[in-house]
Amino acid sequence: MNKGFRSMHPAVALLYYAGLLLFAALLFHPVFLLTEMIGVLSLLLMQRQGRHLLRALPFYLLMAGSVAVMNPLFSHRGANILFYLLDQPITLEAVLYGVMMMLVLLTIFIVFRSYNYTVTTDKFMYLFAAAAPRTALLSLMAIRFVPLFQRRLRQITLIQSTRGINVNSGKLRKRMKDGMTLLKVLLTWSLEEALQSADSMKARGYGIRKRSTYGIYKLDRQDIWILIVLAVSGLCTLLGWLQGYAMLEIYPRMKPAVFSWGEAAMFASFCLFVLTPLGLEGKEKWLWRSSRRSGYPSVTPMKAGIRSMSFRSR
Amino acid sequence: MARFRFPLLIALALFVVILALTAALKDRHYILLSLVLVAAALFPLFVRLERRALESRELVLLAVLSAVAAVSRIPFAALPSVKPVSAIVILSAYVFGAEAGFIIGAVAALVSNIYFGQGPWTPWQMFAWGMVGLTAGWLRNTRWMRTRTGMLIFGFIWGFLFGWIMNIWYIISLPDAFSWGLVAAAYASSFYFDLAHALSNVFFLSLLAGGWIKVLQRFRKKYGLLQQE
Amino acid sequence: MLCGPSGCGKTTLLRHLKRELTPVGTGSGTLKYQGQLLAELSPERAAGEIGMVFQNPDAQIVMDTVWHELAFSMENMGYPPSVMRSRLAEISGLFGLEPLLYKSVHELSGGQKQLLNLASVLLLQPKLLLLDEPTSQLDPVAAREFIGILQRLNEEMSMTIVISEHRLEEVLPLADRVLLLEDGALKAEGSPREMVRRIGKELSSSHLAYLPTAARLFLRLSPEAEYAELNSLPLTVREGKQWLQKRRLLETDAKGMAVAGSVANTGLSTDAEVLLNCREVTFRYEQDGPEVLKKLSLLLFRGELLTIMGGNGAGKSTLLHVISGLAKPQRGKAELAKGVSAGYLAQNPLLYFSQDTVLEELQHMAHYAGMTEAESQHEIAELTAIFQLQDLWGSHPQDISGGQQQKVALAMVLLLKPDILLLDEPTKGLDPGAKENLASLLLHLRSQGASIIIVTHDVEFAARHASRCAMLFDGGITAEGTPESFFSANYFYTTAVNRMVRDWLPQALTIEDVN
Repeated sequence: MNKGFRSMHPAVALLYYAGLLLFAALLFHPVFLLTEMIGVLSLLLMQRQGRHLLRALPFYLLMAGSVAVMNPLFSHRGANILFYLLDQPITLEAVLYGVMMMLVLLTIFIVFRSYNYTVTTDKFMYLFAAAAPRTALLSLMAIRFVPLFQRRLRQITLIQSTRGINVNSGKLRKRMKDGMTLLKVLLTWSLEEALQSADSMKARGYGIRKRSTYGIYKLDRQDIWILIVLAVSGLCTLLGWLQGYAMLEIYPRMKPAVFSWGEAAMFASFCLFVLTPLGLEGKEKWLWRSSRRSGYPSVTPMKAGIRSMSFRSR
Repeated sequence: MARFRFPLLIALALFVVILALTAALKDRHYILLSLVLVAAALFPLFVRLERRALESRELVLLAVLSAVAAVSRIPFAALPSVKPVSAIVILSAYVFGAEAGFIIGAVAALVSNIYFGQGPWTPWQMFAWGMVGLTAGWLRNTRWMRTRTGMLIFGFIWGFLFGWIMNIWYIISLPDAFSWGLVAAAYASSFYFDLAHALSNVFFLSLLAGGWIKVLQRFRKKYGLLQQE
Repeated sequence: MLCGPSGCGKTTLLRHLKRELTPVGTGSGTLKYQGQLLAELSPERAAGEIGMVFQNPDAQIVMDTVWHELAFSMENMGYPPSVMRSRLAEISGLFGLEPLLYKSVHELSGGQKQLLNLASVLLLQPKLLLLDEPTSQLDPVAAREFIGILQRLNEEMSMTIVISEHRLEEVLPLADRVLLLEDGALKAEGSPREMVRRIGKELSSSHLAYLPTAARLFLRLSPEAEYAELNSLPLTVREGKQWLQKRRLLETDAKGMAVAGSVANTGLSTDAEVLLNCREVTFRYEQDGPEVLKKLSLLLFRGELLTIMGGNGAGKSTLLHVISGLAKPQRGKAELAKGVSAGYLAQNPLLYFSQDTVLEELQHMAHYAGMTEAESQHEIAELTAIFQLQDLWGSHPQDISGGQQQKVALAMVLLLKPDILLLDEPTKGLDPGAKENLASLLLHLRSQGASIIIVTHDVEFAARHASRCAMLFDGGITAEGTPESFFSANYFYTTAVNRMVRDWLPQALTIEDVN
């Protein structure tokens, strides 16, 4: 399932998502936020993640929606008073500000949803290991233990039920207590076995010198190009932000948005940044479709395949 | 490339810090700044982990405890706020000390979120659970923590503190509406969740305390793990 | 090859050869590696040139994916990426790991995990490979594959290998030298054939258990074994059969061989009470999952010892779960006779322990069984005597040996007073002595009227101690019968003795059967 934007080098993905988060937090302008949100949403849909998104959407809407409601209730700044609620003025500006913050939060949530799909644990750890090798090693070991412990916990639950320890029957207190007994069995067993893991680490030379890192990822030409495109367009956007573009001034009084040439150029580079992965995804989809038509599937540059093969031939 | 990695990272971090400060000063918009601050809070302890000499046994022990804490979150996923993680982190810190407690809490948050989904809350959770472990480790030699009730009260307080820390990132998204009223409203709306967390902490601690401390101490003694002078 | 009973010091010796793992304690004497004191070796050489693989496949893995685990040891040594890449390619080719490379380690089978552990050690290109009972947790197919790879490493790469192992049939014929340890001292040493001769000549019969079947048969049938020529001593089934053929040519008269008078096991007694009746049981783990058991039918009579055999994933453990009530079949029924209960002992005894001492475990179980204080004291005392657990009462259940843990867990199950005892692979990882112990325990329980079902891969154990054998394949029982009829009908899946003598004595299964 590694294709399109997902098969790019982790650094590309990291730059992309870091940029998206940064812009979501910095750019306070509905057009920019909506563009970003729609861009990421379409990326998710192209990666067929719509169903997963739909499941989490109620929570997101609740969180973000509450912000939109809370702001006018507690902030009374602004010149245009709409009405009074319990003697408190509700202003148009505060409502708009709340809606903007809702947009910001929603965008952040959706960016993270896409991040979870694209940047798998492996990739994150690969990058993380560069900055904090030991923390990354520790986290990787914990990640390896989680499915193992889950399986053990299932076995323990099954077997301990033959001696009356189970979480499905009895009073709540007894059930929770039994649940904890099960966890204790897991803890004891796992700590005991972990000492063997430690031995096996030591036997394989852990700690005798500074570790190097092995990566299965290789920065290829396309990765570099995309990196450059993202970096340049991202920097242009930032420059625009420093110029004071893309900032909607709401307080004390909402100013009508003027779309200057500078702002338009900034918007263009922002679009380039947000939509590049979408283009990659689309290009691959189109290549597959056209290759199916022409009947030469082998001529399509399928990235995942190339990568695993280049690894062998080296 | 490897040679430039560290300076590059520092430069990058500085860049983000300055951006965040500018953003905060310019339009009083604190989302980015808060993230930077949380990262800064996590930073020194992780640096210590990177720097200090660590036996493979100690590393594995930390990994196992983090993983057990993370796994314990899964069966209770259906019940919001009922998380044995806090209790497990407190007990681990009680036996293995503040630093270990911090690492276990932070890594447990990071790892369990692989299953629950990473989000803007991940660094906050890492911070909150890390602090649970850190404080439990600091206080472990006080008379207060040595008593059972003391530990239960500690767990109860952290149930609320945890919720309050997690509320911060919600509140800072409304810089403009910041008022005691908003804080009160946010904390009131999370009150029942926090109370559930606090009570479940007390409950888990009262159940776990005896047996788990015995198990953990047995391992510490048996293998001379993470002994702090 | 190192052999000897559990606790004789095999592991301790191996750990002394691996500097990083040398046990804490006081010691004397010197260890030299290539003429240099082991303690003075540089850390890189000590870690890289001496590799070690342990017993438990799961506990040795520290990383989450296969490629990461493989890279782990090389990362420790600080190799540059290009070296790592080429070594990884080499080893993946050798072991056929390529299809697994990007898998998460928990998707692997036990045999694959152990291969991964071996490969990870081999990536450092060791000159000396230490293996501590590496196949004891594997099923026979995976074990044979693992041993095959060791043989290749030894023959094709000329790698020095020190292995401690209970699986003698396969390993001993490959060894250049065999060391027999006892109570921490070297009892005997020599080439495999020399060992056969020495054990036949001077050592006690308890050491016979450390010889492969062909050699034992030889010692039993030829009283003049000590004078035999060294090269004529058989070690493998093939050599054993050749020797028997030659012997038959020499002895043309009829007294050559015969089936021993009475075969120890009594066959089926159809009038015995039926304790368990499985009727067309169908079971699957998930709604859309495959059927693990398919309309399986099975009867169990009082006083029987039924062994159920079958390949990996044939559903053997699942069947025991269904019988013990831990899993509910979707169709059909596993019906216990009135007043009959079943007790289940899982493969891993650690699953049973939750208290701090052995005695507390037993008391907790007795309490759950609803016994009064006096009853439980009496019962526990009785079981303790049978299982010889007196000295362990105060120990932590995690601190005792694997065989002892199994005994404690079995005692706990027996406190529930089951009429049917279900054992999942009870002989896995046990040394020959412990196996005999277990067998006599089971015999004792049977004499008290219990029925026992064992699922196992251990053909020799089944042939020797079962009263009935059954084969589980594709979710159903495909063959069953007394061990004699069951195994003599098989061609591949039968005991070593049977494979040797089947041309003359198709019914003979164990050495005692041949006279």
